[in-house]
Amino acid sequence: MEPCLLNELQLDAIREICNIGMGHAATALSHLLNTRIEAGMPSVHLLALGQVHEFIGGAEQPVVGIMFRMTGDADGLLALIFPHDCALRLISHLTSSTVTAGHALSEFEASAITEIGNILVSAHLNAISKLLNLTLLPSIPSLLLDMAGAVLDPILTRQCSDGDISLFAQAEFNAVGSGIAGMFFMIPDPDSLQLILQASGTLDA
Amino acid sequence: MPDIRVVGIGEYLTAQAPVQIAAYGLGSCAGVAIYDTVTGYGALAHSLLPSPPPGSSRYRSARYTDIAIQLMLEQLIKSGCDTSTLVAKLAGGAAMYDGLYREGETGIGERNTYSARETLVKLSIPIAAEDIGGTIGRSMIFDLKSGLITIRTLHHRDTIL
Repeated sequence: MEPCLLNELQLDAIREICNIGMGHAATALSHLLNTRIEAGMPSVHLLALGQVHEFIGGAEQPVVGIMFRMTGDADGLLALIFPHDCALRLISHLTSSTVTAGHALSEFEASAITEIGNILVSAHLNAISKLLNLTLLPSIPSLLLDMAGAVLDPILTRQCSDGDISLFAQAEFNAVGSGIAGMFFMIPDPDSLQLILQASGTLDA
Repeated sequence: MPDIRVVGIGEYLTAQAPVQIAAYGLGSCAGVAIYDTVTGYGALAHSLLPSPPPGSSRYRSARYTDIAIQLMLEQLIKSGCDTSTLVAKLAGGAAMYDGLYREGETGIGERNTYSARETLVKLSIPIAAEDIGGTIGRSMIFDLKSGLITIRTLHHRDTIL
């Protein structure tokens, strides 16, 4: 299903699904960091390929991306993207240690942030699974610290093989008073998008 | 200040010296530069996929590496360039995430590189230099005055192609 053919009701359904998933992920993060987490209302964007880089704040911006494949009843990609400085603050907050400067993570730091990703994504998918009565599982995470454009390539590659429009279900979250913010993306494959709409009762809406 | 024009993902640009053309944050994407050593005309593409899927209705898009190269060549010839004085340089084509894909899906970066090489050979444009593969993102800044390309990454010092 082409994302550009979605109607308002269907976009609303996706927004609501993400909202519930994000709520659970935010609670998990809040327990982990022992701080209050504000999860922004998720937004759903249909972006032309050429707009994506601008949307995420520039192709060269250094980010930490934790990417998962969604498997089970529906396929797709899940991505957590932190600006580099936020990722470092998050790691330092979690491990109560100072982090290395420069564009490399130590093994310990990489492992810590990957685990944060794991916890958030699992909480998110669990909630959505229950809501839609689908089995949705995250794969093993892949971690990257690189330019935002390069980190996002796999998402665009999957979405834009025959179309120009990329569906971004995106949510931002902020750890209050800690300067930690990140973005969460859920990108279902076209067939799986159809399945998710069906499970939400809006496929023929 | 140099006049730097940015090629967005899935796009290409042609220009003439002293302009610089840049493609930022190439991961598995292919960055293909073609330069005319005589006129100082050059083109740069930032392509996402190796080639259009069979039966695609929108195949004339620079988001496909092979089509991008053809489009750039057409444009350069229109600007008065001669195919015999063109050279190409490649960057990008990295394998950003291992283990993310299903079987048979691996290697978009590698396939982009392969598609670029194959298309350039077919069009008799020699490849003068490459910085491809690996697991890092790259930016290309293509200086049409010299034909040289600066490769910028987060992890290494700049290199010149």
